[in-house]
Amino acid sequence: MASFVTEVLASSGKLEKEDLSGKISKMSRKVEDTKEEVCDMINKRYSEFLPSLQGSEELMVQVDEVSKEMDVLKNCVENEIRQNIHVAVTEYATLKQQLEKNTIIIKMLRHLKEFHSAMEESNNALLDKKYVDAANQLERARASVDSLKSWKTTQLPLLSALSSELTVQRENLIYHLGDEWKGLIIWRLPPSKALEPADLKSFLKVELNLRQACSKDSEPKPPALLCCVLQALAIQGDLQHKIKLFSQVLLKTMLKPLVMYPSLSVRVTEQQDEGITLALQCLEESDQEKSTPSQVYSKLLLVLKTLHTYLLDVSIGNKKLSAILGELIWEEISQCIIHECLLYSIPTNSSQLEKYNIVIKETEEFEKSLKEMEFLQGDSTDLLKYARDVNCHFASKKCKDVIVAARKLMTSKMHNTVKITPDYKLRLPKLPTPASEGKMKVKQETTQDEIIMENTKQLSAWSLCIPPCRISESVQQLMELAVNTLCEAVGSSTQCALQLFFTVRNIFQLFYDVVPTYHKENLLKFPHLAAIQHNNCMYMAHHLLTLGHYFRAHLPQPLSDGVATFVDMVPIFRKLGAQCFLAQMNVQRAELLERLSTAHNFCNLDDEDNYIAASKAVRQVIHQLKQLGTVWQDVLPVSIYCKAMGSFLNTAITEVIAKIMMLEDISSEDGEHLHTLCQTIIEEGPLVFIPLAEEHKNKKYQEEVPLYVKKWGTFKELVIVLRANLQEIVDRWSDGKGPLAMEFSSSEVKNLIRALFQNTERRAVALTKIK
Amino acid sequence: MDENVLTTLKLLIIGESGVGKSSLLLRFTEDTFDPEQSATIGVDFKVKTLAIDGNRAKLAIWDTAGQERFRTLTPSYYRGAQGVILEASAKTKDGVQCAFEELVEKILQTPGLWESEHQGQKLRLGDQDQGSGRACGGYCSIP
Repeated sequence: MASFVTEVLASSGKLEKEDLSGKISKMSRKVEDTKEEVCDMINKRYSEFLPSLQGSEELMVQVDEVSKEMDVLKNCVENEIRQNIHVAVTEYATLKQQLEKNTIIIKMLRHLKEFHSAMEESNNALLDKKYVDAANQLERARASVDSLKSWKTTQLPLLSALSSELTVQRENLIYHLGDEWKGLIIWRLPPSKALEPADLKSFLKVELNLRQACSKDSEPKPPALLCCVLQALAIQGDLQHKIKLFSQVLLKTMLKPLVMYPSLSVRVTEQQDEGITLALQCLEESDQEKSTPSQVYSKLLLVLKTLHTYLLDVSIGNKKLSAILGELIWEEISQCIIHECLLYSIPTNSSQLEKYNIVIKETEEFEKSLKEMEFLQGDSTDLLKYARDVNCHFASKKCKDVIVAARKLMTSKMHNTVKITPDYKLRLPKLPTPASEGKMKVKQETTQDEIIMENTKQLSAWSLCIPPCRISESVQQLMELAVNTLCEAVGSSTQCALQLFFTVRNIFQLFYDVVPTYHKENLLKFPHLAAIQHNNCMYMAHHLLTLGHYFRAHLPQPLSDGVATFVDMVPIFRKLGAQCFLAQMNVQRAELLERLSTAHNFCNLDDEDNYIAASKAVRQVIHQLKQLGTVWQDVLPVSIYCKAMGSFLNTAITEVIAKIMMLEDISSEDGEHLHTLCQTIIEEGPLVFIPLAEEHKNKKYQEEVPLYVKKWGTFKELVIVLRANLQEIVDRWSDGKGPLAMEFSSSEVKNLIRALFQNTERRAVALTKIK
Repeated sequence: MDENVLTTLKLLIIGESGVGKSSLLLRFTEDTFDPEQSATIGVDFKVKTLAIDGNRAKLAIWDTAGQERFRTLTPSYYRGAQGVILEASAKTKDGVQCAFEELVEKILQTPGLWESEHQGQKLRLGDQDQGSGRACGGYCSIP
């Protein structure tokens, strides 16, 4: 073992030794290498790099210098060039201006030349009567002047000279054209003062002569010269003006008179050297006030056709001359035809309405001819529309007439009266039975079996009639007017019927507004009129109840659906009548009380003067009542009469009772006087009840005074007491079971007894009986 | 003056026109007859004192108008009536029946007629049987 380890140890020591020498030799080679590298390195750094660095730094300095020099140079160059550019620009600008100026001048010169030549040519053309050329050239000249004017720099003196030259030339041309026009179209008019619309004769001198127009050729047309003149005028823009003047004269002196005067007509004559002449002439005097539409249409057509053939059939631009004239006159002439002719041709009642179709057709044809001649362009114009709306106009006219008539009736005198008797009936027309009524008859038949169920006591035939009274004749006529208007509405066209129906309603509305206002003073002043107005209102209310119902079925929709009614007006009318009468009653009542107040409360009648005053007051009151009774006699319905008179008498006796009850001491003489006065009232009071004209029939109403005068019983008791002795008074009291107790309270009777009788034992006993 | 009057009774004379109401009253109070007696207007009134068994009673008699046209006035006179003299003519076929019908109608139409004279013991229309004996003693005069 030991040997192995030594062996190992021996071998390892050997190995290490060998290894170390190898390593050292390696190391020394490496050191050699490193020495060479370092040496090389140092060499490179100091002998190669540094010198090159130095070189480049020097170069940098040089570059900087060069760039500085370059900057300086650049600035120099820039300054130089800038200056040069300015100079060049200004030079070019002036050159350009020069050029423009030259161009303008050349253009202006060209315009001037053109103007000149145009003027020259126009002048020549004018001399040769080539009016169209002349006008065209002139128009060119004008264009030149216009373009000259459009430069601001143009010298003014030249321009104004040119303008004036142009104007002169233009006026010259127009003057010539006017001359030609005057030569071709010659008006012969009466002196303008004579042209009053009322003077028919003056129109006879009116003549229109169209020269050179002749129908020698197969087709008559406007002369060539005229065409020339017209076109030239059109080019110069003066045609409108010329035609306007012409149209005005034509309208005023020819067309309108033809529409307005039925006896005027137009005559067309043709002569070789004179041309065509249109002249107004007078036919034999006709008594017609207004001409019929067909007459007017034929007369107007003759004039317009002649004008069209010889004058107006010329195209100006894209328009016919007749169209230009048409535009100018149509509105006025159609208005004239409507107001002077068609308005009067509208029928006044519906039967003539059918025939009016002829007029509508004539109007259509009239417009058609005008359209053919190009006087008219559009469709349905005012004229035709007016004629076609004849229903409306008819209704309007009718309504206007009706309202005017109604108003006249309302403002007429009210005191012309007619008597309304129970058998009076409003004159209603017989209307055809409407289809629906058939059904009602069938129903009636089925109910006939049940008729036995009816009450055997029948109402009087007069039950629902208006009571006998007097109403104004005018109101009766007003009602008839309303009925007639409603009749007219039956069978009219819907529009017409509606208008007529509402006109009738308006009549009543008008009555409500007009009558109380118009007659206001008289209604307050005259009891007679107030009573009549009361009756008038009640009469109208009475008929308004059924009026709508009567006509409803015969009126068109929506009236037949129930709109056709006057029932809503009934309370208004009743109130109107009642108010009027009440106002009058208040006036009378105030007057009555005023008269009674002069009686000095009926005290101290033993004094002569007092008695005279009191008796006078009583007589005056009775007199007033008598007068009222007379004025209202036969006017008011009996029941209203009695109520009104009863109310007055009641007022009077109530006042008297109150005054007497206030007396504290009534001497026997006083009592006698009071009794006399009251007896007068009791005797004469009933006599004021005279509601009927037949004297013998009034007794009944005089007996019925206790029914109409509430305090009559009271008054009678008072009169008895005034003259009675104590026993009689106690008897009439009868333990509160007599009539005196019914009219007066116990304290009132006691006071009366104290006033009438001296303080005695008998009186004391009597007073104890009044409990 | 009415010293020993026991009571005052309110009586009504009613009936159709022309049967003799006013004549009856005249005969009763003044013992006269007027052949030309005119129609009563509204109402007439007379007083008569009667002695029965020594007891004096004062009768306040209301003579009403028979004519139809004054009918509206009469109901007011009925108030407080204690007796009714119903007069009818036998000349007409059902005059009496008519008069009674009219009476009933009047009673029905007059408010307060029953209550007023029977203080405390109010009577209604339904109690007619008990009340009629006292309140409406009928007297039929047949000429």
